[in-house]
Amino acid sequence: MNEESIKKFTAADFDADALAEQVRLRLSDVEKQSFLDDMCDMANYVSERLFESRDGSLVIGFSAAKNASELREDEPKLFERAEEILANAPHVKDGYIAVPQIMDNGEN
Amino acid sequence: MSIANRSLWQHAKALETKEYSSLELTLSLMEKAEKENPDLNAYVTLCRERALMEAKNSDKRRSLGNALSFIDGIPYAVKDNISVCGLPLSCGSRILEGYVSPYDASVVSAFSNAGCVLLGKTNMDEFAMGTGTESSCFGRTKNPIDARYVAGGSSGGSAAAVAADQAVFALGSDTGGSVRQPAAYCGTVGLRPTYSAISRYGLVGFAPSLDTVGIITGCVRDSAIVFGFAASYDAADATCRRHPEKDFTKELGNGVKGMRIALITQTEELFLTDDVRKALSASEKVLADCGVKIVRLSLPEISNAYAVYYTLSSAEASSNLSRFDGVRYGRRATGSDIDEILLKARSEGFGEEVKRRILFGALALSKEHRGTLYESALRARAKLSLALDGVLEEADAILLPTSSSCAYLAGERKHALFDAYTMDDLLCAPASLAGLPAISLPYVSGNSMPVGIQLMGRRFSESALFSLAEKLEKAFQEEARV
Repeated sequence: MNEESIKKFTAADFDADALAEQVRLRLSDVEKQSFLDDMCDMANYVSERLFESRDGSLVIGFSAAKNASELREDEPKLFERAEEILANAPHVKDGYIAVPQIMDNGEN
Repeated sequence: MSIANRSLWQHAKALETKEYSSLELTLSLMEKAEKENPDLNAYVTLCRERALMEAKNSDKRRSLGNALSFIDGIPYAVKDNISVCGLPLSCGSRILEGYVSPYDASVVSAFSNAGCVLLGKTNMDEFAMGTGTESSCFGRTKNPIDARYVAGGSSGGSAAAVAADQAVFALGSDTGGSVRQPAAYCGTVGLRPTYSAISRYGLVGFAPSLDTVGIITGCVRDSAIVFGFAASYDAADATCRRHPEKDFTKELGNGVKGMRIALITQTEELFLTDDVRKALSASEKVLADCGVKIVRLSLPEISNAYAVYYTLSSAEASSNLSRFDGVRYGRRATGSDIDEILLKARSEGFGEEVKRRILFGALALSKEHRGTLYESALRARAKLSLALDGVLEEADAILLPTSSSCAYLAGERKHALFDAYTMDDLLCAPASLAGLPAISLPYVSGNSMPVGIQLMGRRFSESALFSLAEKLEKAFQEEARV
């Protein structure tokens, strides 16, 4: 293994803000630094350990279930348990889950 | 003979002969759980009324000669990431505050159809991420053997409940050792079945290519009995497969002479405590005395198991946990717009460990780094799985420790990325990554905390594992008596 070609991660490789935004997390400055350090350590560990597995000619496909799953037939069924779903919704309106507005009605 | 501290098999026989009733048994366990839970914290939900009603129904069925099964009336517990209709489901997390399951998981239905009595839902590490049941929003579960120590994780509540005789058996989930390790720490038997043998319908996903429902019992025979009811084809789980066997107790008591057991040389080179080495040596001797041939084989791929497991499980978790946003269920946050609401809900709802893994998972899947991290891990997983299949062509099972040590002190590994996980996951991850069954059974030396010995077998070879494990179990019990 050529150690010089093993990817060495540093904090500069990670945009913690962008990652946090992508996964919809808001991190405090303390959390950000702690997680950044952890990600760096782990990424370097993984990069070093799995260096030989970067070979693109190696098989990437793997199924823990070893294929041969039995898939059920597609049978359309009327879903009649909406009340059970709604029972867990934080906010219900007119028989629907009321969700926060996403579209801004074209104002912006 | 006291009703306490009996095996499932003994309880089932006692119910059959009417030595006592399911109601008496259920009351005994429920009262013990209610009394001890404020300290032990094995349960997050105890359902007394439901349990007593189910027990009475069981007794009534039995009096009419209509017992549903051999285990009709046996009380059990379920980890709180497995859906039970009408009961809260938390996954040990604030983000699911207020959520009540609208349906039974298929495995819960299976035990309900067998007439078992549900005692309650057990504590766990948040979203099954952890090794100590310390990250739950309900507080930590203590080890029933010595409260200073962790119960293990993430199925620590289930393991503690069985160890403390607060449930005859318990269901957990095992992604990277989360049934085997707490079982080892609490001195119980933990089974991770072949991937796809037990339906995952109703199990909240952490890493679906690794997750299995697991079983925790007081002894190997009980594990074989319970597995017989749990292993069943389910059309609701597309990954579920029919197990080729039906009766997993049939090989118990059979000789194991002539079987071949592999010891992986790399696991012996790890840092293992003296207790664990002693247990491994004792196991080797027991099996050799039974006529088993021990072969030492090299499996260098195993040393990558932790890196592979952490990368793939984090990547899958990052995707799976994106559904938790407080919009359709769980704890909804308030905010000025959708972005604010989602950010607040997830930031306030998830704990530190979950956030850490979600972030790393997102990193592993990112365009810039997925080649180095995620895709490399996929290839390494395939290599490891092929290598394990190769070993299992030369041996019937692999013998290795469950964990590098006994349980650790509470708080000792709260945030130790490599100390906590490297060794333990390295020993449990291989079975998870390859979809192989593995069973952990306890070894106790003197007054020390128990350590776990693990047997890993070919896919759908649970019967052979039970047979081997029972031999070890009997020998360990004999040694402890001397």
